[in-house]
Amino acid sequence: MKRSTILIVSVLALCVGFALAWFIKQSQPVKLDAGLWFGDQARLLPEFELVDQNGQAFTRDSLEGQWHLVFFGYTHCPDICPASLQTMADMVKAIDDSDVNKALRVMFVSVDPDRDTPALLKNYVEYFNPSFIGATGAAENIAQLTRSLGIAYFLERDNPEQLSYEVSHSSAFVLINPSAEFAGLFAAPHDSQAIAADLTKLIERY
Amino acid sequence: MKFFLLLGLLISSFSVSADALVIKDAWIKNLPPGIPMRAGYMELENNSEKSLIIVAIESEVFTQVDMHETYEKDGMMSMRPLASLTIAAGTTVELAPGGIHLMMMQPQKTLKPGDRAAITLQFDDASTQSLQMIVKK
Repeated sequence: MKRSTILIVSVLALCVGFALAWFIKQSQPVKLDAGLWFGDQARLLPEFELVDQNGQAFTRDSLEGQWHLVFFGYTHCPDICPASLQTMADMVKAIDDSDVNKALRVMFVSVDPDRDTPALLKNYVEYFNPSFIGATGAAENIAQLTRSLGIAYFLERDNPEQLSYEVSHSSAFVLINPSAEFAGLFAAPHDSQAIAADLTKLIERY
Repeated sequence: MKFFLLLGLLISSFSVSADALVIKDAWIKNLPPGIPMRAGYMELENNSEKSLIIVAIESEVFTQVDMHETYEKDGMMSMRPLASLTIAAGTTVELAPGGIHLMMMQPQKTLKPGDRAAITLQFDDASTQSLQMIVKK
């Protein structure tokens, strides 16, 4: 065999190897320092309709063009929700790259719409960071979104008239990419610095 | 002489009871007005040789203060009330975000970072211990 043919075959084999490695890498969730990145397995979210803290509709289209890190909870939650929102606020502060900061929005979705009005949500989320988005909606609309993200929650009340009750809910942060796809997950316990580093790498790369 | 002996005894018994439970870093997570709940955290260090059991907490700043624990159930975070909190002899119990905390309901005045709120711990032997908690951002 000619030397040039050997060279061509070798280069081709190398290319195939790289392509295969890239394909395997892309088609499996990638473990980040603080979470999981779904790569090309990211799934488009279903259509949904929520209301944001200013009373404006917030739909799947509202997610287009920006990265979103989303947490689900409720304002009457004294411990884990303020702690999680504080972590998200600290995370935003820890991102040095202003382009990454501009590309990323943090969102709190209340799964307790009977008590969490848009006005209350505004007061709540903007306390942690004025740029944070708060949203809620009718129970079936919230469920539509949470189901597609694997987020579970349960209102621990016996009847709709009961005013004092707690809500069990997933504590994960959900990452949605600028194509409105479910792109990653950060499970608790959360480290603001590690999530900031992961998101910076991801957003700078994509 | 007897008087001084008695006085000495009294002082030493006071200092023993004051040192039995050392409370460190007692703080309340600040939230904006209009939000009806606050969480309180602290470190409880029992330097005595017997268990200390907190059975109730009172405060004039809140309508009610309960002891709660956040725990994970079926992949969800839930809370359960604690009827009492035991700090075994020579151990430290940490109340921290995501675990045991005080659930402090309906602040009766506007609280902001730097403010203090007094609370009183009640123990199973009917004794009490008061402390100041500081509101932090």
